[in-house]
Amino acid sequence: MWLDFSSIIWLTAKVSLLGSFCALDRTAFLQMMLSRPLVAATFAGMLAGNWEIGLLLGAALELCFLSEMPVGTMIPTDDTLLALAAGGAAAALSVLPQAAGRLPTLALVVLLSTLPWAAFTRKVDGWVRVRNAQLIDEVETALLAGHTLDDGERKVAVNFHLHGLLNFYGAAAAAVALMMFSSLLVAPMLLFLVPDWLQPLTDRLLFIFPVIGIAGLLSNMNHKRQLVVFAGVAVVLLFFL
Amino acid sequence: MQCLGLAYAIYPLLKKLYGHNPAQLIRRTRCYLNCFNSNPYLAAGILGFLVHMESQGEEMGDQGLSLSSSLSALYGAVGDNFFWNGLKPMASALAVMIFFWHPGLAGPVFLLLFYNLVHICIRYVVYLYGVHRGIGVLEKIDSLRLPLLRNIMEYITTVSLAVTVFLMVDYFNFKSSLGATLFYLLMLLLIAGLWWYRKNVHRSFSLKNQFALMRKS
Repeated sequence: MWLDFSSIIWLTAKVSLLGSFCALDRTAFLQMMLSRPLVAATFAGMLAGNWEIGLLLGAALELCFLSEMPVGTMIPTDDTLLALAAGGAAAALSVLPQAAGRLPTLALVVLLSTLPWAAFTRKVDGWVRVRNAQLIDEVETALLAGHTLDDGERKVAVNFHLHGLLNFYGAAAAAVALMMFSSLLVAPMLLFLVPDWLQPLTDRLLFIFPVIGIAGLLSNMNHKRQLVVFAGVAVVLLFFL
Repeated sequence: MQCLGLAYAIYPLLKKLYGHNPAQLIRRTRCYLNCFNSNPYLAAGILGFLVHMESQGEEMGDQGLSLSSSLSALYGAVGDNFFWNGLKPMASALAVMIFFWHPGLAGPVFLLLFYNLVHICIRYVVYLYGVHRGIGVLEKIDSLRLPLLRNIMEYITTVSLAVTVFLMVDYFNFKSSLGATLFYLLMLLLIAGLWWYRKNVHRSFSLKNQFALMRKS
């Protein structure tokens, strides 16, 4: 029913250590959308051996938390960590016999086992930001002690910068490892509980995540005209079904 | 953390200008460690502006720094609105639409190429304007008409979200016409319900929470 323990450890380590580079892109480095679930989950899926199920999960998660914007001091849910853990876990579990022919249902149960960690990802992000804010004091102390920012071999600025990145990376890797490990244990049980006669429904239930995201995005829009446009396009498309 | 990045980015110029006097170099570096919070993409314009001012002398550098605090707030608001509320949702919505239309790597590839092309071009232009024209970078950002572009992007996002809902019917493989229509209507009904919930119940709940926190503090 479960993967063997050595595979769980190996795949969790691989996805958390390599996949967490995507998490750096979120705030600490580049910000080139490598951290979007569509990209991160596909990458995690590729690392764990099945990028297609990672891509499916990424598409389901992409719009889900998009209405939470990092505007001002607000820290949104870290959908990158969720996507990495879910993408990696789903790809790893796709080799199980009970997942054969049931990949959309597997994707659904993996998402259901990962999403309860959403609040935890916000906490992790908050902890790292608080820790990194303390680095400024440490740089000030170094400067007051008479060091310049590239003080010989000490390279104060570079070191503090790398320290900040390392905080983000370490926290992301630990969080992904924890979430993926728990999902690898919980999701096979959930999959086992889904009876065959329910599969036509569970194979299609993934639609709920993009729908939540679409409703969130529409509620964030300022003008009522956009709702009229949405409703208008939706009605026109109804005739093409 | 952004102020450390700002100090790190401008440090090569400071070293070139004040490298002969370590005490002055440390003093100038510390000036750039004051609180700085802006949009990470439009911060390139402020950096260019600060480079322009600092290279004209210490006094001008101080003036640049005092002006940069209001510039960072302004660019923070404009940039957050354009990038986080406009470009990012639009790129994501289009990428998801592409995924449901043609499942494969086209969606993620589109997201990466499209978003990066736009933000790298804007970063490059505003930085160069800041370096060469100083405060003239304001005119350049104004000429980009970011708020208008943001409104246009919001319409594109809306249309692509509606098309995504339509494409999901085909993706989730409803064979009969009746089943497809019912599924489509169910999704629209759910979107309407969730929209109403977020607009009314969720928002008032969040406001109540915020008031409770304010009272506590």
